[in-house]
Amino acid sequence: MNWMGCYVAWLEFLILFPLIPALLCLVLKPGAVRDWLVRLSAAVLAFAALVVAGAVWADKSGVSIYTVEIPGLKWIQLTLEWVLYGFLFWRSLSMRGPKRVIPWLILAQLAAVTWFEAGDALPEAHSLLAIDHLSALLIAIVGVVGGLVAVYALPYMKEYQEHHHDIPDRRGVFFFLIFLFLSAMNGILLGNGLTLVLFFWELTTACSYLLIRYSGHPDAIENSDLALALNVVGGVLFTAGLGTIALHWAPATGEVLGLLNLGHGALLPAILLGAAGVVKAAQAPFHKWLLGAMVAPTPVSGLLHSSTMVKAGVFLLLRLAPIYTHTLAGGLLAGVGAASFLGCSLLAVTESNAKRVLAYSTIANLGLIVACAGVGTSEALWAGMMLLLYHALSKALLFLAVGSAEHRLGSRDIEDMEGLLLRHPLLGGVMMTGILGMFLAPFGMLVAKWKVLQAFADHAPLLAVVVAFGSAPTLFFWTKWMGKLVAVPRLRPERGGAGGGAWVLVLLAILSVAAAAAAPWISSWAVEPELLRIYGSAPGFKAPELLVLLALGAGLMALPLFFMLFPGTLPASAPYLGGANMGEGFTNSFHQVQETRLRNYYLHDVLRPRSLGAALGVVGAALLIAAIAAGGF
Amino acid sequence: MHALIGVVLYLLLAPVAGCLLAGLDRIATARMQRRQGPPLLQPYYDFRKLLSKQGAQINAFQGFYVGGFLVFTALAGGLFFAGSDLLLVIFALTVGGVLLVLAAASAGSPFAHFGAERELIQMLAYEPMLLMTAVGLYLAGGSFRVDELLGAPAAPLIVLPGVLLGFLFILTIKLRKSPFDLSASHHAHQELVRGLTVELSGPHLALVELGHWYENVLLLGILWLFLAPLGWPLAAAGTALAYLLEIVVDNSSSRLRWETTLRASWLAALVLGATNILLLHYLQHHYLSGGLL
Repeated sequence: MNWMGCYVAWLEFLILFPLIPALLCLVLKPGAVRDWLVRLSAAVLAFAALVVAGAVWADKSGVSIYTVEIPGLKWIQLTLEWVLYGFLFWRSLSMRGPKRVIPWLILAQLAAVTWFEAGDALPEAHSLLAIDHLSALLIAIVGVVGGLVAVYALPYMKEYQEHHHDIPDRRGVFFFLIFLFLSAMNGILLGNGLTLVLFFWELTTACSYLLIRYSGHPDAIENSDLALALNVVGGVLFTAGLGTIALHWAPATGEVLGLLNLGHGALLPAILLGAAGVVKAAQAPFHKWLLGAMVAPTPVSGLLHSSTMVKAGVFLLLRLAPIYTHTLAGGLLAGVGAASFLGCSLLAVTESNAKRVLAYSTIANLGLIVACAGVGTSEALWAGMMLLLYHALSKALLFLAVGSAEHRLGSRDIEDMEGLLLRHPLLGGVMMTGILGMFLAPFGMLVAKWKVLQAFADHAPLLAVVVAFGSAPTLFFWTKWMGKLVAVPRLRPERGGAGGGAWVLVLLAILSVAAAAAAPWISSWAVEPELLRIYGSAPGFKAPELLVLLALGAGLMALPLFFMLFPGTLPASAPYLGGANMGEGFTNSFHQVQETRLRNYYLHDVLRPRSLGAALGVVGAALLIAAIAAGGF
Repeated sequence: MHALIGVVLYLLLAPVAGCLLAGLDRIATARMQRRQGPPLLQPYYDFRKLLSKQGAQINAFQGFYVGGFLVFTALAGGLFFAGSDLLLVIFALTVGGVLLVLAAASAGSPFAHFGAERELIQMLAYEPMLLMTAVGLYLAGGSFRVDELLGAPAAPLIVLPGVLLGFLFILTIKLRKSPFDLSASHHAHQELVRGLTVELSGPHLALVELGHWYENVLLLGILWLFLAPLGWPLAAAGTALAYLLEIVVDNSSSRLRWETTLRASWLAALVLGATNILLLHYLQHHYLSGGLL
């Protein structure tokens, strides 16, 4: 029992510890001391996360619930909520146009939360914190990937400030927000009290709002307002979910695990909370905020897309997935995810801006996870959890690599990355690893899609059809990006390093490859016990041919590392250009040197991105409203 | 044990079968054009000659991409003939296809670049229907595994007419037949410079040919899954007939624009594939007690 008490302390540590470096970053002057504080704190956080997750993986008995009672916590929590909502209210007062409704929504939420807690409208949670295999997996991701992003942000933000003299140097606030974000994220993952989770939920909204706004440019302000507005709508949905319990439309419980114990009885609050998750995971029709969020400095995107924020959304959905199993409402929620997957995969084809491609692919990937959660069977949940892990690793790697490439090339356009593998072997190599991790090698899309299709074919063939249509465009946009990276550059290659923080990129690349190779073990330690506890059965790696495929896939992923170690030589012969080759071009029939430039296809005429985006919004909104309606009946 | 025999037989015999198929294809095509045509073993002679030539490469990694294409294509076929999961077969085939595109894209030549982009458009066109073929066979046979599908009681031919037609549609793209041979055509009159493989020469080109032989045998194997319940003589006749039909289409049509190809194949996948799958699922759940179909 002593050990258990010790373990609770570890859980509290994960939430409270990041606040120390956060506050210190605010007061410390820029310099080596603050840099080391960030590095050490990230290391401590990653270590603690692995200890906590490792203890869960080592313990085969299932869910571990730990009770934490702090006298008067309710009032502390309520005070903090007033401060948080007051801050958001104040910031949202400047909004114009249809967003003028946002301050009123915030006030309504504040009133509801006060009623829940001070008015005892919601039963009090007996155990405030809980951890099981699902949260342990995410804790590990947040600790390791989040920590690495924070460390990478040190050299990145230094270069960022050097590149942008017009932006005031507020790096202290930046790192304050990063650590606050990680604390809030751990709070969402470990929180069992519903109002506690809501508090941390809104805290991540506030952090992302301020981080997106960092540069202070008009587009940053506009996009941070959009992110805030949409996430407030998500918060309202969350609050409405709790409201259904307070108004006795759903059985009374104040705990997340209490909801799960109610099963289908708690469908209405579960669907409303799921809708809040849909907003946070930037699914249609709320996908615009994540696209706007890329105006923030790259590490912020890396954090938002890989380990925090959007992952909080899908975490909540996966957590509630057993409630959705075999319900119409769950099926419609899955439809929101499937529509986002198809729509955003197609939209990614039309983009040449690397960050936008990554943003669309994030939404598409999360869409697949949302679809898995909505279907809610054992196979679907397995695919969802595996996708979540591998997406976090690969996406963090890709965002940071694109950020480094942007500083080196002065552009984030994929067309300008031609021949990156020969120009900057390290950057090109890690980018290839990330892309392969996203869609080819074991757990990128390819093998996860295998389980997703299997899971959907039984219960929801319509979803399987949508996934079949959506998987082709992912193939298209990733491969054409890789085609640019592997091409022989038109310009003579200038060799150069990846800049500060290169080791973080390499470490993330190694982690992705290692995680791909270790997939069967990760599945049996970190994922299958969760499914065994909930469903009594778990899919895993059984077929020997899958192991063959895994080995080959992991080998394929290791090859970009090989490119980095043995950079290729210059072309032995020149390409055929239909005339006499002249350096960068050829002599045409008028004896003039004709320059050649190659651009990828973007299929604008066929896909018509504007109408497609609008259609996606309408379909997403219709499905979400239908899901909530179906949950109510 | 059966699985292992299947893999070994496929790896050894598929190139022979694929090569003979290519030879027959060329003879049939020539006869349709009122020519005599080459000897049956001409593809083999071509292959041997390519191997003996000195290779030239533009990008140091070209050989790796081409080799990867061959390995993954053969892996896909090996998994199929081992009786493994049909979805995994399709994914391995996709990885091979991606590596072939990279081989072309890595050259940095305009013609190879166009070939690579058009090959990608072909993949975009056929991928949904290919995946739906697997889903359809699963609904009909109750399994994604090839060995279990072969033993399934229901004849996919009866319950999956739409999926079969949709598969035949994309088979034209996969076999690189006109009117969908966007990235590289077998007909000399279609293009002045071949797209996809223009920068591959000598042994590398030979490996691409070998990969195509493996691929074609695998594709006909998937077609066989639809016809298997008829018994092997009829199934063989059906497969041969389908291939002959592809040659007729190949010789009686000219290349379409890529936009038309893309739209037509997605429409075919939607109308033939998706409708069939949804209808079958609906019937299975509402009118037929489980197990019959």
